[in-house]
Amino acid sequence: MKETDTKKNGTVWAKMASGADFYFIPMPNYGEKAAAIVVKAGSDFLACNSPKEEKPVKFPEGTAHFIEHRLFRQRWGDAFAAFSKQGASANAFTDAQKTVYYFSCQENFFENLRLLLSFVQNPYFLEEETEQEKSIIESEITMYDDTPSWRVYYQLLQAMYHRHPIRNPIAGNHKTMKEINHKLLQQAYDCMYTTNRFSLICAGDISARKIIEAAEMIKKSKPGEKPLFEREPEEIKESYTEGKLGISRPIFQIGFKMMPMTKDVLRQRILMNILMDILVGESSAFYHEAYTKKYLDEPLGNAYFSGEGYAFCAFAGSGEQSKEVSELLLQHLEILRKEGVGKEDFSRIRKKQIGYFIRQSQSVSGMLMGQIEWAMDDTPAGEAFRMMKAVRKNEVDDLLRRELMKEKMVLSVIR
Amino acid sequence: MYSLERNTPRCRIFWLDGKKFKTNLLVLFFDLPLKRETATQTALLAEVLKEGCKPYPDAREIAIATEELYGALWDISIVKKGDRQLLLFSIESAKVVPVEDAIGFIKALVVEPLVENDAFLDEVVKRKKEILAKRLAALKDDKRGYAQKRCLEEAAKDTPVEISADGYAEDLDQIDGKMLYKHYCNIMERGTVKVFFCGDEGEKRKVTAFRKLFQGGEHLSGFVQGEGLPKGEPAFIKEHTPMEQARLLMAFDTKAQWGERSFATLLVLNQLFGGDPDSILFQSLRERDGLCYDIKSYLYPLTGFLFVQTGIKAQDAKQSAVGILKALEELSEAKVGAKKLEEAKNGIIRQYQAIADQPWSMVDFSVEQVLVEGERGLDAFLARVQEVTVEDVCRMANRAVLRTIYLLSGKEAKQNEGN
Repeated sequence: MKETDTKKNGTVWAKMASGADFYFIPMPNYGEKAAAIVVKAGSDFLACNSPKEEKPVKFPEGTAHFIEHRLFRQRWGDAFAAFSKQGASANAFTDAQKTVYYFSCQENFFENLRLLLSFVQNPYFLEEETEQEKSIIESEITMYDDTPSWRVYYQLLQAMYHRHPIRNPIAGNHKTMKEINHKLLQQAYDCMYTTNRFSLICAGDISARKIIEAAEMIKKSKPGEKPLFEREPEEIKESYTEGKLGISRPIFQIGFKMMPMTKDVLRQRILMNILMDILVGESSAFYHEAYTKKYLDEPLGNAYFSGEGYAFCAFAGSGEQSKEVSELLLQHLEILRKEGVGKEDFSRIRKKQIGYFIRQSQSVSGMLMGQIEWAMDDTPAGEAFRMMKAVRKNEVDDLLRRELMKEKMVLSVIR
Repeated sequence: MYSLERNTPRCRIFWLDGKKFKTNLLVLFFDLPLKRETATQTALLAEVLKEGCKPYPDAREIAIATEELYGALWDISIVKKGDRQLLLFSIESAKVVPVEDAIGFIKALVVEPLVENDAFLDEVVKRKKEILAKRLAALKDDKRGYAQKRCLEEAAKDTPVEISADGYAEDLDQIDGKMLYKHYCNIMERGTVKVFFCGDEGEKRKVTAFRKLFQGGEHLSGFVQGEGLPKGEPAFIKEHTPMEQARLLMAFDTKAQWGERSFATLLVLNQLFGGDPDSILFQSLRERDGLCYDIKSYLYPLTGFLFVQTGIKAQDAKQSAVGILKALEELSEAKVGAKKLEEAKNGIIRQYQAIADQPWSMVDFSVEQVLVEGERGLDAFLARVQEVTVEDVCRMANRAVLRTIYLLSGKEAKQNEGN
């Protein structure tokens, strides 16, 4: 731990000797305590330069997710069950950019923290078990295939992106998953799980000093190779895509491909949340018109996603009038672009976002999950909150002038 | 956990200590018996009331008002608890928002609806009927939710628990603004009201203002636990929908009663059976046999039903069902070790202790306690869990009667049907 530990609005943030980042959110008077290890390598990590060979190493789609499944298996037994025995409930997830392992408990926090730090650093991939795991993952993939919201999302991305791996489902597919074996898992683990990619996040009524002591268990590894990506064109691949799942009420997503960000990533995320809410939220002129015209029965869901080499936003809804909705959305975008975002609308929606943050910050799991995302942008929670309060209307107007263009729009429908 | 304010016959007000939280949560609900004749009207009423009230005459005005309250999260919803249908109004707002504003907002939604000539506005009722009809027709699109709902209906056949609190499409036609307003007045004049406020102690007086709104009136008929328990042989129900994976559900009736000692035993049984990754179902069907990715057992609020649900290949349905029955058999033969039992109890205690860290969980737990008139608080509840023995679990597992096996499957099953 360095002397330069910073404390921003209550969040402790530090770089550890191992190269890992450390975030601690003190939550006095809470019984629940939680910790997570974020590994900044996810399903997009499909290739990197090899330290030993000339040619880059490649991994099948779904490799990061497969590691997440098998890492709980330790030489001594099942870490998942061990958390249970120690009074904790553990879980893990993989997304495009990261793999996250976390637990929450009331007691035995430090035993559980040591277990977390130990198992993520000690892979034990056996041939037979790796093969056996395939039937479980196959079942997981089939479960997602049956989920309309999942299908409509990946269909959107496949129409939006030509080559970037964000277009691949996180767990891979039935074919790529079968190409994975225990040796490959180890090779991928060595490339991805380097401690400079680790963030340790803790939240709860815990002593920071004791956490820092325990965190010394993270042993420094050599820095990993960066993932390699093929060049992705700025243009979308197709503007409309449709699939069939036999559902009675069609669902759809309208997405806009955006320019990937290399700096001010969190700021853009905050601005996008405000912009999307102003554009399609409950009080928006767009929703009011869409409801009156019976295009929509409820507001569109919205989300902004960004990572290495990609950025996009998506609006999700249901009903037969997806084309009309997308056209109406473009009309309202044009109005906003021309007239600028309303001053009152901006300040009201920013207030709403601040309220959401406050609500999230009163739960241990809410803060843990929030900080997992902010850690991807190397930002402690307190700093994120400060930034949210400081963003300005003209920044949203600027963003609108650059992004959410008609030619970058994709409509994905599942029937 | 909560202190009781003075009562009026019809309205009870509860305060939960929310000092450590950054928001105030206010929940007001009408506790209504779940009846086939009124379920759809109540479900529709929740939707119509959301469309506006006198101070905020349309949905957009409401949205703007709550955004000004730092994005206060509000809803009017239907919650099914056992054989009750709760018409529930809620608002959660940051503490920077005065409690009076939140109270005023909810009060307006409850008692100042938009009405003309003793009827809700025709246009609003018509639109909301269409929306509800569409939503009901699309229930099957959420395979997991649909399978859970269907299995519950089958397991609780011929009891009020089988009634859907979401309403029925075929009942919508006959409902108009006048009829719905009459239903609303009946609820307002006779419905039992419970108000929960999770916030600072200094603010709780302000909430007692609700008492004046609901005075007098004869109660709508209530609820007797254990009434009309289903009888007869277990049923095997098979349905099809376009999907790759099959969903298998099994329902067991344990006759355990919420609020009673037997419920603590049922909780422990559920935990050991399929409550977490260390449970028998997870370890055997998933980890050992690789039959599924997701498998869990769960309880249904205010009933003694114990459910298992999993996503499998349709051709594995029989093997999976046998595996599930075998897992329960293990528990009925007292094969659970003392250590395992302790771990299960600790798991439950941890889950329930976490309730005190979330305003909504605190309210939800308290609501269930109040509904079964078991207002003993969390500590007493957890003490009961501590007392559960291996023998109790064994007896409860023996008592569990298989009511329903429900299989929702797609293409695979259809192809195999000829075999």
